[in-house]
Amino acid sequence: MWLQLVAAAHAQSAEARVDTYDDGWIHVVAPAASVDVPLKKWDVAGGWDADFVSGATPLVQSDTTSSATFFDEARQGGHVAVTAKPKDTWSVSGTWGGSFESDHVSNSAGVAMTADALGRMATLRAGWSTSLWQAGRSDDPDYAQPGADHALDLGWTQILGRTTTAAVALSGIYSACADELGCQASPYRRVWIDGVVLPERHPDTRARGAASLKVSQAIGQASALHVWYRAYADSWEVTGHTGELSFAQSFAGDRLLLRAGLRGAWQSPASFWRAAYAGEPAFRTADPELSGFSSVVGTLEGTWTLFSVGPAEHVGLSARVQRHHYDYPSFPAYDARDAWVLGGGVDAAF
Amino acid sequence: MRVTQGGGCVVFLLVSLLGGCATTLSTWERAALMTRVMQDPLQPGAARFETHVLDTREAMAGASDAGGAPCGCN
Repeated sequence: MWLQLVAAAHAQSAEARVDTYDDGWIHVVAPAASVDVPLKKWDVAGGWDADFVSGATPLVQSDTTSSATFFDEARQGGHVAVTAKPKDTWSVSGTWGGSFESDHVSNSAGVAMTADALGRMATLRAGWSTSLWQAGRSDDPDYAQPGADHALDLGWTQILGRTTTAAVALSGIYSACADELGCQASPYRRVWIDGVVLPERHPDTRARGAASLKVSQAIGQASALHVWYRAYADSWEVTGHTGELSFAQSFAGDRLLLRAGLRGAWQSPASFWRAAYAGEPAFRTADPELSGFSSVVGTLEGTWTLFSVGPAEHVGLSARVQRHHYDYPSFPAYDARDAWVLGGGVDAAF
Repeated sequence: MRVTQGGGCVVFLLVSLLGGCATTLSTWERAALMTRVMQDPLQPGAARFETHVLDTREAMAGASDAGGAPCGCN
């Protein structure tokens, strides 16, 4: 029975989907495809994805004036994960991910170990990854700003009873970036100081830490409630809180699954963020990500398992609708942003 | 067979707080944990795109997933 349950959760599968994002300024179409091939003591998973982005983005200046720049760009990415399971109770995996566009290239590699403990009542995970990236400018082939992110992730998933699980995750990320612009700075954004337009300048390093708790509660065999909370802080004095509540319901013996979720987040501004700069600040930014903001994301999604065809045990359809709302109480260019995120796809299990 | 795992629960603060120092569960006692509604996210591909969107909108990152499955089967 145990092996049957595990096998059911690890059938060979493939998925193709398209997601879109539209906030009135930016339009994104993102196709993606992925496969997962479990073998006896191995699992190989991989995928491809792309973003085709068009639209306009505000060129923010700190004196509250703004204008728009128009652009079209494309990004392609891939990811591979190879997992070895020498023993039934633990596994080790190696991952690679890459992202490629005309003015930004990144490659990341990681290793992780996962082990069952306490008589399979707990699952522990520890992982390390390093991402090397290089930012450029589409109008200057000689411009290059390298950087690196190193991340440590720890996780503990605990079964609390026949219907309840809890999971704690901890992560630390350290970034070291080229000293011309600093971490997360855009070579395109400009800051207006005393009549002079200057590029962004962020600190060269950044340390980030986050801790989260998730509790999942099954309600009978056909419903489940998930509650998630995360606390965040970093060396730029950004602090934040994120919470999510979601409810999933299955119908017709899991052939139809529906999920509704609500996510809220609040974030403080970075220590060097100002709505308007003056003098000679050591660091300067026009990034709305580094201003204080709050956000709400509502999600409705469903999957529908249809039928078996050819070698596929089943073929299914999925759809998702999300509404994103962001409030920027002190950002000079705009005070809110709303977006629709729509997506759908087809998947098969073999 | 039921085996008390009190020592491990001491380490896991949350479990202690919730009084969850549980005994082990047999396979057939995990049926509710193995249902698809207990798997979150429901659509991993869509969740990947959502993370991509949020990474461009928020400075916060990390600790999004503990990496374990509700079945206790790594």
